[in-house]
Amino acid sequence: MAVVTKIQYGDAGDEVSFQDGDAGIQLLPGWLARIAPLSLDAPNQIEELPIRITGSNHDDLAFHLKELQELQRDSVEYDDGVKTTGVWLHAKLNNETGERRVFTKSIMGDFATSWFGSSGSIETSGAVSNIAEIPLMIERRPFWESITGTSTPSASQGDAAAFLYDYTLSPGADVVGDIGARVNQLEISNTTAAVTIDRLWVGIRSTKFGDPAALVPVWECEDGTNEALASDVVQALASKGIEVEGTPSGDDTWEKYLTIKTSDAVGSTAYTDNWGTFLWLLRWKVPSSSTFDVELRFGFDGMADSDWMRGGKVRLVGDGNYAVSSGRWIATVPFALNRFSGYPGLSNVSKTWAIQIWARRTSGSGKVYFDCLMPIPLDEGWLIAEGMDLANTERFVFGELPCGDTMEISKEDKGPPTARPEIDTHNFRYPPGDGRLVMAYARASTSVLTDAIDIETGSYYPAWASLRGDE
Amino acid sequence: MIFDLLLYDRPARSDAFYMRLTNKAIGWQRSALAVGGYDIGSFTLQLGSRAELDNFYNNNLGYRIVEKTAGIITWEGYIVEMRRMQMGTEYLHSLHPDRFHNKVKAIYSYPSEDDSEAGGAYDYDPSPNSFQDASQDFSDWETLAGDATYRIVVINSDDTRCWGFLGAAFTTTSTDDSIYVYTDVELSTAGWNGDTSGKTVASYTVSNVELAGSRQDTGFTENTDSSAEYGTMEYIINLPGATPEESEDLRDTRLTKFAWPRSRAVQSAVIAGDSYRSGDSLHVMVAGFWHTLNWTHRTSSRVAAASDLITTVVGESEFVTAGRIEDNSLGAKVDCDPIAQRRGDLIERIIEKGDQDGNLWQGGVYADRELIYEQAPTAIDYYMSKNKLLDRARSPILVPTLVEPGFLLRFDSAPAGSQPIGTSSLWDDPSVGYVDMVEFVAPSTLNLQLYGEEGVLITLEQQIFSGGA
Repeated sequence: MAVVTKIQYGDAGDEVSFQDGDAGIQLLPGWLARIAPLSLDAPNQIEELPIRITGSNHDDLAFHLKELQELQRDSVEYDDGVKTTGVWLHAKLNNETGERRVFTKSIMGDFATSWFGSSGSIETSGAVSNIAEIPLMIERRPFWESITGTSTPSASQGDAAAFLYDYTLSPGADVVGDIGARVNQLEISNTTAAVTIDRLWVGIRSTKFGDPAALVPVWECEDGTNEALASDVVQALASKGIEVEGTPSGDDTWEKYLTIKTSDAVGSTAYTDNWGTFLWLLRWKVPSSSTFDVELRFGFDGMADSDWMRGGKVRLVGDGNYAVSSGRWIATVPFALNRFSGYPGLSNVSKTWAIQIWARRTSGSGKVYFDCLMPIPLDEGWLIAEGMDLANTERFVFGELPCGDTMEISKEDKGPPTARPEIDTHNFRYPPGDGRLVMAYARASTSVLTDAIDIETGSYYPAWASLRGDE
Repeated sequence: MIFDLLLYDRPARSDAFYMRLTNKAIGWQRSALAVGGYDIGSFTLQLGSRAELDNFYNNNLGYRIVEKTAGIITWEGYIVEMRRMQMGTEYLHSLHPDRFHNKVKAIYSYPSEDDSEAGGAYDYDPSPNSFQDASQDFSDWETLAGDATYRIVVINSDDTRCWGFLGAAFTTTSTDDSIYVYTDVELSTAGWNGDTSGKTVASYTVSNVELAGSRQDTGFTENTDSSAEYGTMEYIINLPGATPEESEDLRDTRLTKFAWPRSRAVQSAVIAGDSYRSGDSLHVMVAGFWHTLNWTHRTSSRVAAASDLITTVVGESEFVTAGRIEDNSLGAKVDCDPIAQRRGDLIERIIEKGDQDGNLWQGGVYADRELIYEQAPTAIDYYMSKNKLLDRARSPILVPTLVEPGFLLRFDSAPAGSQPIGTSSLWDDPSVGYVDMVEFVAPSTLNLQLYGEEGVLITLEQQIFSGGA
């Protein structure tokens, strides 16, 4: 296997190799490659590559210098937004199986330095004044990537309030690398006629938090404990066909309707897989001509009500349809076992953690209906989109560009853009190992479980801090 | 970043989503108040080129800024001012009320009709109980029947004054250069109020009996094109005595000058004959929509329950709507006649009244530009332990952007003490403080201010999501 060090425009454009010996550009000994800290907030790194350029004559020397300068210009023009493809630095050690590359932000070099001939003296004329040694300074993104992307499978969804999507299913291999892989393309399409899908919630879940396949993405309210005001009723449009009906005792009074513990929602053995920090979504409905405020409270079953943490209030002016509400409801299901293993009683920490649903009616005379809660994990990365405005067959596409910017657009299938969604995203990269995306979606103001989407084939690029090896 | 910063069009226009600013807003910081809600903020904008900076500076004043975390709005406001530094000169583009207003009126005192500028010879009693100015024509101010419409005040050379009500005009030297004077408005008793014998007239004024000195209103004039772009920003010019024409001219001139927020150079470091190079920069200041409540005035008074008044007044605003307004039956008055009051000031005063049980209330404009009005809490929401802010469950705050002002904070390390005798409220607990201001400085600093204290009291570097791996 041969050494690779080169810079290249795009995936297959012009390239300049640094392994040409006396016939061009050669990397000299002394390059100490940088290693970025293993954090998605790591800064760009500056590589200093000592190179020697040898030309057969001055024109040949100029030719090699111009090759470098062309790619230098390409890098600047990409940064300025003029070019759509940038410049990559490629590397592979002699016995390293996989070639890797890293995106460059700028390429700098003191191109007028160290003119000298074979005699070692400063040369002003003559046949041997055709060598230049230059310290090439390359500012690059923090992490190396694979040369080609890894595809993610397609999937269909249309019967649940939230679901898990396995992005490692095809080619049936976990994500490799040292740090989260760059998500090059995540694409969903609306496959429901006469319906507009407008909102999307996506959280990343990896083996850092247990078995990602065992995360329960929907907590059914009927699995909790109802207060006297509440009772389970059959409802075909509800998740699992049952909802909790609440009858307020009066107006403008906050009342507790139900409590749902982790153990109610995830079963007796899945605590180790269902902890972490989540954005809690609530699927609920209020009849027309009534208005309710709702508040989620978080704590441990058995605590006095006054000690529960309050997550903020959301108002729903009823129209009889289900809505998905996202209040200021970010709360952590604790998991003490990783630090306090062996301490008696602490294994109950996760399973007795609970959510209370409180509500008050502010107008009208109707009841309130709670269907389910959907926990969207926030610990590792999230993507939340509003304003997708996806009509039937239209697609929402998200991707992180090699330079670190993100691209998000709604578009026709193989057609032009149709909307500019608002994105709130943080560290949206696939961690090494097995993993799932926890996803939920809805119309602009209502939720219908039979609204269907497809997750189209996508791709990601594994990332490394230093060597790739045989991954 | 734990948050995203999003830019939208002006709310008076389309309010459409425009672009993400998250990685381009350097030094983002913003604050919120228990009375007011989202308050002020700022950042320096980093875009690709000078042309992009210029474009942003020229076109994006008034655009809406939203800070979101996990899809939750954690701060919201509008671009109120931008300062552009270019080649050593600073330019300002601002929506400050002193620099921009598109709806103007003037309030003025009704003037005297005329005075002795006519400059003719003055004389008492050319005919008994009358007055002459040889260059004047008094026919405009005569009353031939009924109560007098005008009166005259004469200032004598010895600073004494004589005055009376004007009857019919007549001719002494020039046509109608004289007028009869009466002591009463009914014009029943001829004569002067004051002693005219031996007096020499220095000057005089004629004024309308009913209107003189009363406050008059030109009415608003508006640049509706500007209002359609930015929203309505009112300005009232308060004048002393002035004529209606003069007041209207002043109003119209002011509207022409300030109807559009014009960019102006405000400072330059360039020395004549020298060259100066400095980096391009654009500093952006934002304000919460609470401040737009003071863009317009209310002119009618009303007495009602505090919560009803707040609902009414906020309903009159252009950009803010009533969110959760809790009932407060404390009687309150908004007194706006004859002096118009800004709506934000009215709401602030009502909030600060509290309730009839002496409880503190809080309110402000928060997410989705909704006004929240509620009693200040009576239970602990946060704890301060070992320089960390903990929630009710005594867990560290993971998302500092979610912390809003108006909460009770217990200090675990407060000196041991007890509440004053006879008190049981947490507000009297010496280890508890009420936080009425929260400032977030990206990426992870929270500054908290306690009620009644000057300046920032507590600065926290909160551990936040690092996420990913």
